[in-house]
Amino acid sequence: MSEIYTENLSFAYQTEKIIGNVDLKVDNGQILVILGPNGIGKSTLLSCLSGLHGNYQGKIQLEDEELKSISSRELSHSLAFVSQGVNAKSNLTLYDYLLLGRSSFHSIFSQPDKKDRKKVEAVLEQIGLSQYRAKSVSDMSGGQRQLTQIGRALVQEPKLLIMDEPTSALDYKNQILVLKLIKALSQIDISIIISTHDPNQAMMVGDQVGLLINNQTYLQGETEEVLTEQNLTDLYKTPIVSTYNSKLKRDIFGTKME
Amino acid sequence: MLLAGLLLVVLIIISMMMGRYNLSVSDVFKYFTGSASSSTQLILKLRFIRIIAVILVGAGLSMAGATFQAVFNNGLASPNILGVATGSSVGAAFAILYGMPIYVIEISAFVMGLITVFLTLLIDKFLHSNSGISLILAGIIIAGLMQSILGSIKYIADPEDQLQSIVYWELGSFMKVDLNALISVGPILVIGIVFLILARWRLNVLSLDVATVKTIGINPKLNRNLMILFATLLTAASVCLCGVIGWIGLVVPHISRSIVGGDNRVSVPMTGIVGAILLVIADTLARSISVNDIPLSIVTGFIGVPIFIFILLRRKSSIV
Repeated sequence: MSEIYTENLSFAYQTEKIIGNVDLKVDNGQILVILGPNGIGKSTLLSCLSGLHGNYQGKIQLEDEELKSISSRELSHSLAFVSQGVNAKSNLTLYDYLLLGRSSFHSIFSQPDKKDRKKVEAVLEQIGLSQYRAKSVSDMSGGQRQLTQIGRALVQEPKLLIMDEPTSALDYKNQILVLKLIKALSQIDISIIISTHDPNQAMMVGDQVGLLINNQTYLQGETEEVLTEQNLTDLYKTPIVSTYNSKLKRDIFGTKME
Repeated sequence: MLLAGLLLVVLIIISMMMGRYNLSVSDVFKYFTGSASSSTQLILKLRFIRIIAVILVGAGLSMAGATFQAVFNNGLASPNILGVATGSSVGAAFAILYGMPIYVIEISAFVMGLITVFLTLLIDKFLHSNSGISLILAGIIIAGLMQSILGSIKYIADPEDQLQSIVYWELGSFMKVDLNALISVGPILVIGIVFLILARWRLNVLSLDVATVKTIGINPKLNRNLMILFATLLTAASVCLCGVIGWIGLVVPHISRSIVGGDNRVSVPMTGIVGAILLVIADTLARSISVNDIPLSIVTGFIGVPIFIFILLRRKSSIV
């Protein structure tokens, strides 16, 4: 069963069309990686899917319901979003920051309860930051902050997690840490949509890959089928070659520098 | 928190002892048991009413400041810097000019306080800047406008009667606070304080960016406006009771955060207690160190400025 799918999705700022004809589909526990050059509309697409841009054209179906008909409170219990960048400015400790993900389970006058604390404890284990629970978020490293953002989203208990370039501001070690977490989350049946610039990351974690080619064309399919030299060369308008690495057991993409 | 509460109780007793006529601890205890002499009973009753008003205003203004700082995610936001206090003074002055009763003065101060916040936010929006400085700049602009309007009201006010009342609001003092004033304004302060204490966890999530707040499932606009409404209500009610008091709303939230950390679940109640403590000290000094009451903003300025400089120097991260 599809967690989310779109039919002929398009979005325009005033008269300028940003994305169009997007037919996207993610099944339960699948990872969809969206690739596209800078400024092509990846963030806009993810914002539409997350319910942040309500005035889109076409259809976004989350499980059995049209996205527009779901209240933001209900939506937050099945879908969580991690925005781009890891510069969250907060004086809260990691533990208190993660608790924020439980806000919509309560009324304005409520305080977090035992169930919330239990969930936060579980997520702290999941993201591997239990020992930093009392550390201020603003004192954390870039990698820890990104994991914190993902943790805050996981505390919402989503079935679908959408992340806008979750590895873009991280060093290689932290990129791998985040990608491993993404893979582990899909194995516990959380569907995931991420955007990235790096086709190698799509090869590493993607079950499906979506190419946002221009504001009229979106191409989605199985990772190995979509990630071809020709498709990537057309997408980034620069010659891209691939080579099979037997140690990694997958294709690696790159560009000749001469 | 418990220690701060105990300190406040001790300060209340000390404050009741101090004044033009110094009294002993036993006089204060006798007052509470109803066995003090009638003259002592009368003096202590007046002091007690005043101290209750001071506590409510100190807690209210500080918590309003903490709320503004949380929803605008800006450590410089406060009732005074956003122009709310001056706006509320204009509202109060207008009502005084037309000889209105106290409840009309309250409503007028509240409405003008809200209009001021709205104008400040409108100018901030037009400045098209994401830096926290633009909000402060907008507050300074609107506070300047409100100051001019207040000046105009003073210019046309009757110097025998109205002008004196308006100047009283401007300087800030609890000298004229009696039981009637406390009964008519106190409940509003209590409502505002209770609301912010109950809703303090929600302030944490409102410190995040709007998109994140939305995807967490919280309506950022509704929640933010509700918090601004109650913070403005507290500011306006404080202005009605004792006029404009500077520094408390800005400095106290920083003091309490430096003691208990940034979680509003703990820091908002702490801010209320620290605000009450500081204002009780300031008011006790204002009515004890000279024959006449010293305007309160003078005292809070002398206390607030060095504390704020100390906080700024100790900070690791940017304040706006």
